Amino acid sequence: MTKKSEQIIFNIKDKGKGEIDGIWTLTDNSIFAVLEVAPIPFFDLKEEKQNELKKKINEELWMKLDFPIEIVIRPVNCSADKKMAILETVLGYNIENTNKTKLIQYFHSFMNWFKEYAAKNVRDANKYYIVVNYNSPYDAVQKDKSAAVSILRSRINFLIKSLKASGITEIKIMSTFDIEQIYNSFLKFHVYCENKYMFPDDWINLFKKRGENERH
Amino acid sequence: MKDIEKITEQLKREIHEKAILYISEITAKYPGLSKKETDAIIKKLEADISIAKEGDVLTLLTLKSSTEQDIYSHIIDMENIEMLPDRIKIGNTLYRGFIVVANPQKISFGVFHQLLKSKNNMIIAMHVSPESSINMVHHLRSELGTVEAKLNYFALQGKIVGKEVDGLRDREKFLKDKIEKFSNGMLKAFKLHFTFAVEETNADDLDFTTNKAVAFLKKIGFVVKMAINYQKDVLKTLVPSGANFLRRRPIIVTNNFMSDSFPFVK
Repeated sequence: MTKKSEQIIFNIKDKGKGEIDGIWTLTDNSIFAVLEVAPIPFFDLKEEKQNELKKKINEELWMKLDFPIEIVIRPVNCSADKKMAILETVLGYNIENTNKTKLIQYFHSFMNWFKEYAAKNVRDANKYYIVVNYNSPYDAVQKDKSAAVSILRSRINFLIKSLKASGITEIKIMSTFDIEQIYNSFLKFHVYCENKYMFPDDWINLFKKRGENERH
Repeated sequence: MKDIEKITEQLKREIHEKAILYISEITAKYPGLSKKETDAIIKKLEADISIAKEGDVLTLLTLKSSTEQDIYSHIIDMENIEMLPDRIKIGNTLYRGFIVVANPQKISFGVFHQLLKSKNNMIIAMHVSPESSINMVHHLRSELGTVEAKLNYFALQGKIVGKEVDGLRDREKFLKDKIEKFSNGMLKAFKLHFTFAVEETNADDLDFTTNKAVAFLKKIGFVVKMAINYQKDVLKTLVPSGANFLRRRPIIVTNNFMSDSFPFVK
């Protein structure tokens, strides 16, 4: 993410590295953490089970929730084929114009590999995130961050417990790196595969590794 | 001339083997070369293979790393941001944001699953904040007061039956029931902000997908408004950070509505 894009789009103050991994601070001094959850295969269940689950969701999650949350559903790899075509055309055009034979050859072999890799690994999916934040009206975050962090942690624990009671089994607290990747995904061309957002440097590294593997 | 070509070929092999070559090495190896000839050899080397000349050192830039760098720089160049009133363009991706300003009384369970299933390329953000039951009871009591005043007025006028009076009596019953449920803790209220954005690669697809998604939301009873001139705020709101950059009135929903709109199902 470039500094300019970061300034335009987000209001990040501190990415929460080190001791408090995964807890970010915004410019308004609010702190937040992100959970990733896997959806329940609800429509595969029998009617009885479905009704039971609906009751649990109501009782365990919504009736007990007493702090604000944000739910974000982000489709990944939507229009990936179209994006790939744009990448090949635009990038191909720019590279052809350089008239560097070796670069053009390298680009074509990269593109062939990338298309093959994408056909195998890139699938449409939806990612589900829940954001838990703490925003003190008295700027307590700025004065005593550890107290604010402990409140946020108790909220996270409560939410995990409630979600588990509502039938969601896969819940992951996202690390600082994971959150940064989600942010980058709004700004950079990417594909989502192998359970992560992959950006140009990741593809090129993979391409390079594949070359090394072939040589061995 | 022939010798220069022969020497250049030998040096190329040497650079490929060692990845580094000192210019003093060339003069030491081939003592008969004049400065002009040495310069010509270096120029030829630079033209034929990727090398960097720094002072007395010629370093081989491996073909792979230089081309990788070139490809990478081209991809990075694609990242630029263009703000328009009805869309935001980042690199080769277009986003168009819209918001929900009113909701239906009831929705069927898993409604967002249907919306996402039909490949609408939509990012959805729901900011949910619990509302105090006392506030809700106060609000409903004030509405009940208005309804009762109207009923009294009709009673004084001698109107005790009719469409209007029946409607008011139904409303009175509904409000009393809600007040009781909120007071007993059987119902809970939430402030809800719905924000949506369609993500596409070209303007035609963006229009098509937006229309499709808006039509779906309208069909199930949501009132949708395009966030004209607020596209940046929509995008900031959609990024998972818990912050809502769109300052607008929330919609008030109950726990039953929240349960039906539970999005983590497939």
